Amino acid sequence: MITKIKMSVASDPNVTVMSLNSNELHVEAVQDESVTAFVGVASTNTFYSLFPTRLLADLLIKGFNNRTRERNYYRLYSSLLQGDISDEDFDREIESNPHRYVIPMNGDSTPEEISTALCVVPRLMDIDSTGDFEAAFSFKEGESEKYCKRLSNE
Amino acid sequence: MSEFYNVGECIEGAACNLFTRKHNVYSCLQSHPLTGKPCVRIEMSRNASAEITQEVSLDPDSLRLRIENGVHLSLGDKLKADSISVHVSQFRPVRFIVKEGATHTHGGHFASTNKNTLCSIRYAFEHIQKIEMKNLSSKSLGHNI
Repeated sequence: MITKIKMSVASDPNVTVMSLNSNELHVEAVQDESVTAFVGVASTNTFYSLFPTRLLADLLIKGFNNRTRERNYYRLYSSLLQGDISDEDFDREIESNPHRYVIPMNGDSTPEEISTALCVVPRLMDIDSTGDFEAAFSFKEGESEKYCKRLSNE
Repeated sequence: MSEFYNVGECIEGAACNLFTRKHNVYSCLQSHPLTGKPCVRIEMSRNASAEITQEVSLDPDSLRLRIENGVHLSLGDKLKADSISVHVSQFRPVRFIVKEGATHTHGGHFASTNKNTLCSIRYAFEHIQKIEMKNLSSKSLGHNI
């Protein structure tokens, strides 16, 4: 965790100079609205833990939304079983609002995304199969196998 | 009418018989891997098998897509593996019947589908996790998240 951030303004008012410090990280940075230039030293674990953050957040948001789609589907199915809605209503609701019930599986994924997802999976509940894993993060079917083959060939 | 055992092998039929010792009861709706249309997905594991009991009739474009993806379409084509993904083109979960002693030692779950069913052999998830662990330890990055 970064314990100290010191900021100062350079001669150009659009440029900010920063100093970020913790026990395991020391970074000096200069940034404007579009670019950050930095130098620093960090423990290896801290260095690698900095970068997956955005990727991880995107994956977890995708995973959360997919779990919500599963919940919506089972709520609707529960309504059908209880007789609150008819078979036709059930089908019509899914056909007219697929984004609420159907997990999209057409997204392209990078090896970094699959690797990050595999790292976080042991801390997530009930992902026991390859299909569950791919559905949780909307990885296209077969991406996991491709990733494994790629690792085996390296 | 052939049997397939390798990862990536795929069959598709208008109706299929399914057997597994263990399956994920809480199947979910997801887009079909080939057509993108909504379908129910089931995960079968432990001595799973799937067999085409009725061939699917396809238009020329759809047939070409299946051939390009190496999908087997003949009556009696069968997959046998420890991990099989099943996509059934319907919105309701598939009901399995449990039969005790189906394998003489263990109980088994049986189901028959009567809608378009696509089945494919997958890597077991434990296997993928082991490969990733090996990859991470060889790089010694720690990857703390």
